[in-house]
Amino acid sequence: MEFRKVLALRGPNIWASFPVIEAWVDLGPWKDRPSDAIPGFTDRLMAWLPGMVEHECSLGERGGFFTRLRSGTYMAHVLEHVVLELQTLAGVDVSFGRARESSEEGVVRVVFKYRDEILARECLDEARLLCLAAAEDTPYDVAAAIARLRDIAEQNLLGPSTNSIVQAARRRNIPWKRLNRYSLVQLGYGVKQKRIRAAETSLTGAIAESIAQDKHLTRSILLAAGVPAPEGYPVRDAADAWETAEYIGVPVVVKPQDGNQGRGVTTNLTTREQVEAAYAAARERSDAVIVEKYIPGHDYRLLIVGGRLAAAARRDPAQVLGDGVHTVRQLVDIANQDPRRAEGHSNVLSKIHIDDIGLHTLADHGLTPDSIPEPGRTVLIRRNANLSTGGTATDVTDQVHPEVAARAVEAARAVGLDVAGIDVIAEDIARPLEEQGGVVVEVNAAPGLRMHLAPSEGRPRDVGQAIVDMLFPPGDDGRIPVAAVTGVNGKTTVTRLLAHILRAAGLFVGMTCTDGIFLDERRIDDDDCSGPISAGMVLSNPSVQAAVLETARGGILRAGLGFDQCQAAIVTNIADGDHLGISDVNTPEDLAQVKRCIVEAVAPDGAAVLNANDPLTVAMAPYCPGRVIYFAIDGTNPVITSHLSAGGAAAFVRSDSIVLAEGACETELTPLDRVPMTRGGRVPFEVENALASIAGAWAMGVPLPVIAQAAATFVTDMNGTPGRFNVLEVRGGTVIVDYGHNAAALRALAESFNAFPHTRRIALYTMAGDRRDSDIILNGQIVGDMVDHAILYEAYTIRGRAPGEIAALMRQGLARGSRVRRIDEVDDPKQAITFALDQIRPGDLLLLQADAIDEAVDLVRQYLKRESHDAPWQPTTVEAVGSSLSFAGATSGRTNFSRPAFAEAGPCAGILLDPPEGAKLW
Amino acid sequence: MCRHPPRSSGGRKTLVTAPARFLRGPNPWSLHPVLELDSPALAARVLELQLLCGCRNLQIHGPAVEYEDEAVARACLQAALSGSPSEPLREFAADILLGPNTRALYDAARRRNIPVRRLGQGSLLLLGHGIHQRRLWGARSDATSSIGESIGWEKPLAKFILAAAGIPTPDGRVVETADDALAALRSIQAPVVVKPESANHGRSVFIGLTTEEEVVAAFQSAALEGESPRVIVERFIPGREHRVLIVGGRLAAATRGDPLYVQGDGIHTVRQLVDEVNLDPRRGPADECPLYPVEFDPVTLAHLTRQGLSPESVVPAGARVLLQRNGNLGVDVTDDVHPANADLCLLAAEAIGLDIAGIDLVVEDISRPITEQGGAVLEVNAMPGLMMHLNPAIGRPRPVDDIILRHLYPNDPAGRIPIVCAVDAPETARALHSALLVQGVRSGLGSSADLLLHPRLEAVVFDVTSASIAAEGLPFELCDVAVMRGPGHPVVRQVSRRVVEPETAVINALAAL
Repeated sequence: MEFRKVLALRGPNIWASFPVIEAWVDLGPWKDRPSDAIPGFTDRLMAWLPGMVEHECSLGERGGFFTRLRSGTYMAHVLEHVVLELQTLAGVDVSFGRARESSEEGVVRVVFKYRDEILARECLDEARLLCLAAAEDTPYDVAAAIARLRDIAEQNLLGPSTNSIVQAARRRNIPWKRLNRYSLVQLGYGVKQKRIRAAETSLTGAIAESIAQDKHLTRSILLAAGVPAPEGYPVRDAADAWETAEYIGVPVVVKPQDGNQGRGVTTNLTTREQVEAAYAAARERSDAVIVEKYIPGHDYRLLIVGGRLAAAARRDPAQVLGDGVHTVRQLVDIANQDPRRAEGHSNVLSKIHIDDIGLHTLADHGLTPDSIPEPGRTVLIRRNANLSTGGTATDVTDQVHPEVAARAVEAARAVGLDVAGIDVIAEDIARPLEEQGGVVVEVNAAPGLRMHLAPSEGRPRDVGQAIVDMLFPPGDDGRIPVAAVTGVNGKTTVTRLLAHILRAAGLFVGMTCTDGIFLDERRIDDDDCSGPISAGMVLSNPSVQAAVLETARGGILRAGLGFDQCQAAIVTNIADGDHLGISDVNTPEDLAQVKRCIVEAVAPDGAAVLNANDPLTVAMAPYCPGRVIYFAIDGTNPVITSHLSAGGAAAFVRSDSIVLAEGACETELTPLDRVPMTRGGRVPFEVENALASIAGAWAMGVPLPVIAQAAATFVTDMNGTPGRFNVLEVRGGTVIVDYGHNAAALRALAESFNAFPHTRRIALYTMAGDRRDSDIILNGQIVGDMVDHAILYEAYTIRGRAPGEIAALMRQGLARGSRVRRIDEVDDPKQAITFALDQIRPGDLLLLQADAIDEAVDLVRQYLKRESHDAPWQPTTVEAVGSSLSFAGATSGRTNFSRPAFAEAGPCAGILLDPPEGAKLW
Repeated sequence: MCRHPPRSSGGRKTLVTAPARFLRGPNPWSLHPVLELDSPALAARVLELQLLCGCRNLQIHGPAVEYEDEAVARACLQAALSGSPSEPLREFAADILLGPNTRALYDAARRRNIPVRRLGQGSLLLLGHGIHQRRLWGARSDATSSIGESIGWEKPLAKFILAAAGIPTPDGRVVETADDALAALRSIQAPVVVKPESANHGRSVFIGLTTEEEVVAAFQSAALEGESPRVIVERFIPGREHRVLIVGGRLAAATRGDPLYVQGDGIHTVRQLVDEVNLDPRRGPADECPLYPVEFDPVTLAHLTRQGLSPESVVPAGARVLLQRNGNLGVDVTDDVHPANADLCLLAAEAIGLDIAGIDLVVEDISRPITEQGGAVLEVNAMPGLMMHLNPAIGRPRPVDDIILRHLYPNDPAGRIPIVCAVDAPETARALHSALLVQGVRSGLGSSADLLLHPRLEAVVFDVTSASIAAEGLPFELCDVAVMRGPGHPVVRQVSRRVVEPETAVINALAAL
C-alpha cells in the first residue's frame, strides 16, 4: 500500500466546503483483501484504537464502523477511519472522511478533514503503518505513535489564545488564514484585513509593547495617568536592592525590569537574605532588576480589549494541599496528573515545577520537596500567581468594581495598548483600589487568554470574540467583494471585463487570470495565475478592495479554492469540456462537478451567474447557496423564462440591447453597439462573455450606469485581452488573434467568422499534447470545415507526445473537413506566426491561434512594426463613451490598426474595418 | 542622607550627600533645568564633567548648573565630589545620553516648539501634552504596529507579503544545512546571496556566489552569525544597494551604497591601504560618522579570496581591489528616485504594515523603474536608522527628523494644551479648574509636571508657590495664563503669555484660553 500523491485541498473543494487531505492510495496487494479476509486484522485494530467504536460510518450508529470491519470492508476505507481516529487522539476532533475508487483499479482516493496540514500528513503516514502492522500482524507501539502525534499537534496547532480569536472570527464569518507556522493570522481579505498574533493585533503599537516590557517605565506612565501603582526603583546590585527595600520599607517584591510571565519574580520579601537571593534569581532573567513595595492581597488579571473590560480572573499561585501522607514532591506529581495541566501553554493549566524559586518558596516555609505537610496545610510552590508557573485562575469578571475597571482601562490607554492584561493586586476586586491600597503592578502586552477562556473555576469568557468585535465592528465581516469566474471558454475575457467594471466603480481591483496577476492596472506576474495561490496573494494584499479570480480546474483539483466564499460565481460554459482525461476528470459531467465548486462557495447573499444555454452549467443552480442569475443571448430561452416567472434574475439580448431582468422588472442596460467587444453584437461568444461579466457586476451591486459605461470602454485588443479575439489589420487583410483551443471555442470562432465577408480564410493552429487523440482530431475537423488554408505547428506544450504526432492527428481531422484546400506545417512556433502573417493578401481572414499568448502577441507586434515604420504601434485607449473604435483603412498600402479615431464624433457605429477596396465590413 | 520624594520620571532615588537639588523646570537661576549646589566651584566642576560626557549647550549660574540628563548630572556630581576618574563616567553617560537618531528627533521637536520629554533611560520620547501626546522611540512612532515590525524580521513571510503586493523580491528560501544550501543553489541558479535569516543589515551577507565551495563556506559563516542556523539562499540581484526611507506614506529620503575599492601602488599591502582608507574622518563609530571603518570581516575576506588576495598581499600598482560590494549607504539620491520606485516602496511599507520603514532595495539605477532593470526589494525594516539621511557622506542632508515630526504633527502649533499657573493662589486654581470642568474641558489640577503626561487632559491648572518654584522649579516650560498678584513672580512672568490678577482670574483666564 503506497501513496501515489497526497494533496492538501486548502479551500472549498470537490469533496467538501472545508479543507481536506486527498490521498491517492495504491492498495497494491490489499486491493482484493477485505478486512474480514485478513486473519486477526479486525481484532487488532479494535484493540489498538478502541475509540473508533464512536465512528458511526454509513450505518449511522455507534459501533457502525466496527460492524463494517467485521463484515468486511476494504483497506482504503479502514485507512480513512484510522487517520481520522489518529487525528482525534492527537487532539484534532474531525469526523469527515471519504474513500472513492479512481478510474484505475486498485487506486483509491482517500479524503479526510484536517485542521493542521503537517499533523494531518503525519497522521496519514502513521495510519498507513498502523494498518499494515495490523494486517501483517507485526509489532506496533500505538501509545508511542499517539504520543509522537500529540507532540506534533502541540508544535503546529494554533495556541489557545490565537485559536479563540480565530474561532470567534469564524463564527462571524470572517475569513482567516495562517500567515506563518507560528501564531500570525490574517483575518479578513484585502483592504479589510487585520492581522493578529495571539492577543496582539495590527492595532497594537510597537512602542506600547516596549513600554509594557519595561516595568519601571510602565510605573511612571501609570502614575502620571492617575493609576495607583506601587512605589519601586531600579537597583544596581544585591546591596542596592536591600538598601532600596529598606528605603521603601519591607515587605518588597523583586523582579526583572523587563521580564514577563512571572519569571524571576519573588514576592513578600522581608529579610536581607531573601531580598539578595531574589535579586540573584531576577538577575538571571534580566540585566535590570527592580525592587518595589509588596502589596498584600489577591492577584487579579483584568483583560482590557478596545477600552473595555472583557474579563477578569483571580489567580492563585501553584500550591498543593497536604494530606499527612505524601511528600511535597509526590503531591506536585499528583497535581500534575490533572489532564488539564500540560507543559507550556497548550492547555488550560500548566504543570507545576519545583525549580529554584520553588525550592526557595518551600524553604521560606520550612519545607523541602521531601517534607510531608500535615493534612489541610496549603503549601505554596510559588508566590507569584502566573498560570505559566502552575497557578490556577478563577473567573471574577462579574465582581469587578466599575472604578477598578476604569483604572484598568486607563492603564491600558496610558501605555497605549488595544489589548492589555492589567495585573492588579487588591484584597477585594469588588471595591475601589484607592480605598484598600490596591495597585496596578503590571501591564502586559499580548496577554495570555486561556485563564479567561478556560478558568479553573468560574465561568469561561469568550474573550476571542471581544477581540474580534474590536477589530471588526458589528456588520463588518472583513470581506471585500470577491468574484470567481470559471468555465471552459471565455473565462479570461469575462474576468478582465468584470475587473474593468469594478475598477470603473472606483475600486482597487486585484485580478488573477491565465494572463497573470493584476493589481489595478499593474501586472505583477505573467504566468498562468488562475490557481489558489495567486488568489490567496490577491486576498492578502492590503490595497485590494475587490477581487476577480479566474478559477481554473487544475487549481481546484490540486489544492481547492483560494477563497472560502465569493459574492459572485460566474460559470461561462462547460459544453463538451476540455482537458478531459486528466486527474480522473474524464467526462464533461466530471468537469462540471469540479467547476461547480465556485458555485457552492457563493455567499448566501451572493449570486451564481450561469449560462442558460449550457445544460451542465444550468444543472449547477441547485448547488448555489445564494441567488442565480442566468444569461443567454436569447431571452426566450426556456431556462430564463421559467426562472424569470419564478421571480429570478437574468441577463439577455433583446432588440440589439442588453437587458437585465428580475421577475417582471426589466432594464435596458445598453445597446450592443455600445459594447465594442461584441462588434455591434456580431460576435456571439463575445456577447455571451459581456452578458456574463455584466450580470456578475450586477450581482455585486455595481450601479447600472457604471456597468454600461465600463462595457463601452472595454476593448478586446492585444492590451486589454491579449489572445482573446483581438482583431487587427495587416496589409488589407484581417487577423484575429485568439487563444481558443477546444472544440467549443473553435465552433464559436467559426460562427463569428460567418459575420466576416472575407473570401479566403487561413488558420494557424495547434493543440497541446495532453488532449485526447479524439479531441485533437475533432479540432482538426472543425478547422477543416472553417478555413481554406490550414497552417500547423507544434507548440511548446507537446506534453509528452512524440514530435509530429500532434500534427499527424490534426491532419487526420483536417482530412474530414469540408473547406480546407491547403495544409502547411511549420516546425517552430515563432516562424509559424511569421509564415502565417506572410500569407495574408488583401481580403484574407487569418486566425492566429496564440498558444503562448504573450510571445505570440509580441511577435505580431514586431511584425506590424516592421510593416509600418512610420506608424509605430500604439496602445489602444478609448477615453470617451460613445467614441467609435476604428480600424482605419490602409489606403496607402501601409498598415494602420486599432488606433482610436477620436475625430469621428457621433454615435458609436461599432468597428469600422475598411478593406482596401473600401467596402465596409460591418 | 537626603532622600528626594519619589518621582515618576525614573530618576534614581539615591542622591549624593552634598546639599544639592534638581530644579526641573524654569527656576530663579535659569529658564532651563538646573542642579543647584552649594558652591560655584563645584557647579563649575560638574559643568566641566558634563561637557566631557558629551552634553551640550549648558550654562552655569553661580552655584546652579544646567544639566541635560539627570542621571548623568548626578553621576558627574558624584565624580566631582569623589574625584573619581572620568573615563567610566564617560562610558556611563554614553550609555544613558540619547543616541544620535533619538537626539535628532528630540532636537527637531524643540525646533518646532513641540513639548518633548524623555522618559526612562531608553529612547522613549513623549511629545506634546495631555490629549495631544504622541510618542517616538527611535524612528518608530506610536502608530508603528508591533506585528508589522516583526513581519519585517521574518524574511520569508515578509517576502510572501511583498510578493502579494506585486513587489519584486529575489527568489530564494531558507536552508538549515549545507547540503540544502547547495540544493537551493542549484534550483535558484548562480549567482546567489547567502545571509543569516535573522541578520541585521549587511552583517555576514555573502553576495554573488557562484561555486559550491563558496556557498558552503558562506553558509557556515552565516549560520554562525545569526541567532539560529537558518540561512537564506536567494538569487543575487545585480545592482547597487539602496535604502529608501518611507514616512507616513511619503518618500522621505533615499541613499545609495557604492562599492568600495582600494587602488594598489605596488608597495603597500591591502591591510595598509585599508588603514589609510580608515583615516577618512567620515569613517568612525556608526553613531557619529556616516561611514564605518573597513574591517576584515568574513565578507571582505571572501571578496579578497575571490580576487586571489589576502590582507597581507601587496597590491600591484594601478590594480583595483574590491573590498565591499555595497559599501556603506552614504550617497544621497533622494531627488533621483523614479516615481514608480517611490510608489513601490510606499506599497512595501503599507503591505508590511509600517508607517515608518526603511526599504532595502537593489537596483542598478534608481532613476529608472526597478521592474525594468530586474531590481528587487530585499527587506523592509522597522525603526530605520536616520543618520545616513541626516548626515550622508556625499550629497545633500535630508531633514528626515523634521519629516517624522511632521508625520506626527502635520500642523503648527502642535502638541500643546492650555496651561494656567496660579502662584500662591490655591483657591483661584481650584476655582479655575472647576470652571473649566463645568465648561466640559477635562482639566487637571496639581503641581506635578507629570500632570501634562495624563493622556486624557485637555487643560491643566498648576497650583504653585514661590517656595516650590525656588525648591523645584516650575512644572512646565511655558504657560498661557499666569494668575498672580501685582508684578508677580519674575520667572513665571518670563514664561507666561499673559498675567491676570486672582480676583478677575476666572473670567479673564477663561477668556484668554
